[in-house]
Amino acid sequence: MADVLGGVTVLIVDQDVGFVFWLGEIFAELGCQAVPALDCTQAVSITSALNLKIDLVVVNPRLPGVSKMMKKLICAGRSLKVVVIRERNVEAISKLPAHAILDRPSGRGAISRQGWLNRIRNILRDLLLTGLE
Amino acid sequence: MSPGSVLKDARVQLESFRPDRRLHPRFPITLGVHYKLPNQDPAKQAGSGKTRSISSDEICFETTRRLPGGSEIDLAIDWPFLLDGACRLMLVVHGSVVRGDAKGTTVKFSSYEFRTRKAQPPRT
Repeated sequence: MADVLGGVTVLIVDQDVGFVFWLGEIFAELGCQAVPALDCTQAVSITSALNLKIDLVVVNPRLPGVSKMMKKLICAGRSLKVVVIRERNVEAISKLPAHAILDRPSGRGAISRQGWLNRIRNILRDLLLTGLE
Repeated sequence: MSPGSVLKDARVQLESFRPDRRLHPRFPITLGVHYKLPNQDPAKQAGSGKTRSISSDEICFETTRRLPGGSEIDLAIDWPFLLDGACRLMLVVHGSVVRGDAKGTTVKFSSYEFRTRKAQPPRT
């Protein structure tokens, strides 16, 4: 799997710095290049400053400026895949067209690295099957 | 059944029904961290350690020194991967020490941001 995903660049945009680091480690372990951002403005500035081509964005749809950021990422080319972070206990309706949904962990429960590796691997596998280039 | 055992059972039951009040999970992440205590004696100002966990508002890390509770602190944690093979990202945190004991130091953030810096060329 790591070999297949060697060229996939994943942008992770969320205000929770712990979750961003966590996802970054998980995606990197699966062979992706993980790019972190704590807000949408930072996401746009990092990707444009480094001229990064993003294949997949994992994003909290409740962040300010998310629509504008998505437009810029889509304009930058490639077929962008979107994974939306869903809050537990929040019935938010995301207007973002998502290819997959990732539930944010909450509370005190133990966080299993293997569980998260499996979860992300399955998402990536599904996205690859639908034509991630 | 003795009053003591009734009380003990009641306490166990109450504890099992206690709601989980921690909203923000702590992610078990191990990375190098550098710290600086701007208001301390210059000889004791800076040091390094390893993170044990990071949540949305706190970082817990291990260090050889016990850091004084309530101190202002600046932390720098490298994003563990180079971007595009050339650019290093660093999380810069300003906050205060809320707990410091033998198990580690916990810092509550007041501000944090990613900053870029060029990767150092490999030493030959």
